[in-house]
Amino acid sequence: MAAHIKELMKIMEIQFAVLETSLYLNTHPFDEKVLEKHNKLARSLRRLQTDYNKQFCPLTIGCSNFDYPWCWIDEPWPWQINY
Amino acid sequence: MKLEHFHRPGPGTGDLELARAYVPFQQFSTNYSPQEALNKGTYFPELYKPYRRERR
Repeated sequence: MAAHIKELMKIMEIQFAVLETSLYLNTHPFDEKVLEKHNKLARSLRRLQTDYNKQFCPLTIGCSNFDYPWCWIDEPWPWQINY
Repeated sequence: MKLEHFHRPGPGTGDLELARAYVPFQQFSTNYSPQEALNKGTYFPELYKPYRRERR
């Protein structure tokens, strides 16, 4: 599996965990233990995304660190990736 | 008819009223690793309810 796909998988995994803790916290706003987990996960998500955007073609079109030449259309579409 | 007739619980239901839907409040116990969570579709083991194909 290509290096950037591996990193992409990691990002998707952490992103899902962040979504899950956020949904839980919507109904359990006073659960400090899960709140800490959430912040920790969100921090590592931010770090992973920043690293990915530096190393590979940025994940979102709004990123400000696109290199020359423009790489966006060279990336596989999501449905072309064989996970 | 008195109001209490509408609120009498059925047999074996404790204080639960009839014709009401209940969702027990989730208590956090432990969590899956992010890898396992994405595969299973939930971060919380108590919410993991895989469908099983029924035997015929």
